[in-house]
Amino acid sequence: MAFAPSKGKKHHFAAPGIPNLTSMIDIMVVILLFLLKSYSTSGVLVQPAQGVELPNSTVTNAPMKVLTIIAKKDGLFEEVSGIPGKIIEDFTSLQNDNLVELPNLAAMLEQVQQRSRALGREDKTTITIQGDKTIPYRWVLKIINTCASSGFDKVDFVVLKESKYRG
Amino acid sequence: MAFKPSRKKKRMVGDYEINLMPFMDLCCVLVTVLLASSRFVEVALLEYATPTVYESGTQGGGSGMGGGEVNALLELRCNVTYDALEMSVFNATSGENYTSFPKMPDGNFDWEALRSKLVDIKTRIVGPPISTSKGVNASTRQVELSEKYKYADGDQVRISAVGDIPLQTLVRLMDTCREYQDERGVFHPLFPSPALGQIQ
Repeated sequence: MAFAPSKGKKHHFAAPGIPNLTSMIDIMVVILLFLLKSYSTSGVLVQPAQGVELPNSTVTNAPMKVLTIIAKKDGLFEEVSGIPGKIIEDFTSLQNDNLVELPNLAAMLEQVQQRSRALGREDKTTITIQGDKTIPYRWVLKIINTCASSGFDKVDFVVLKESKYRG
Repeated sequence: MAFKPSRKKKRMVGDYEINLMPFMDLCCVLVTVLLASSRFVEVALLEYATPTVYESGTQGGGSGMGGGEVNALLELRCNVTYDALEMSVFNATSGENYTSFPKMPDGNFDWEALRSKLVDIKTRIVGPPISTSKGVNASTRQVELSEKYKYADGDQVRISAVGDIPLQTLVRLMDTCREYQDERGVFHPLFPSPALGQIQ
């Protein structure tokens, strides 16, 4: 025998309404504040090159877009839109202790200066190096020596910014 | 005579909820835009200008406020070898003007000890600047202070390292030599002009 439906129990229908958004708004506001705080209007002038692990430093100087070369573990490359382009010096010449300066790099820098002169501009004096943090000191010295000989008195290293505050 | 209370129903303050949907829409759009344009890895430039290296016997360039000629050289050197940081002043190779900081047991260089020694040299031997002048940096177009010390090379450190030392170690050494933070958290310059060279 079937029981008659209960008359006492009421069926609960979900009331139409909007979900409680307060907690979600809290999260949104926090994210928004964090992002606004870390937002920079200056734009990205220098991007770390692909395949290069930059060293960390406490310097705060903003990067500028100038002539850039990339020093990777396997050689020295031209920079083309943030990626290593044509090879300038290979591993062998960089490792060669008999070379104080790098001939191919010197030729490339001379070309750059000649192009500047042909356009009626002053010689360039600043060059930026995106160097992998593992490249040896002897490579750095050779690059700096070659750049200085070609009139580039200022050599800037691209680094990843880290906090200088201790404790 | 007292008035009879009105029979009109008083409007009760109900549980109204503000419509938060437009605000949520705005937040979602803003968060997306900001996330897309955020830089989570910030790059900076470590500047290295080919320095004027003073050699023993050269004139240091001008006279100080006290009238004394600035011609003595500090000749602060920092050498990085495979197992130690070596630091010397006045071209010393031993004695109290020469210090070696061996690597720590964890294999890292003792940067804090080096920094403390550099601070000691800066305060005890170099002393405060004898003159200060302002100038505009041609590349950054910012006004920079130029300080003269009783030693012509009072802001310079000559850095050298064995050929296989990685760039990261060099950068760290330049960071350590550049400035220090005192107890109050204020930064002071140490030896901000590095001169890179071959190990001697």
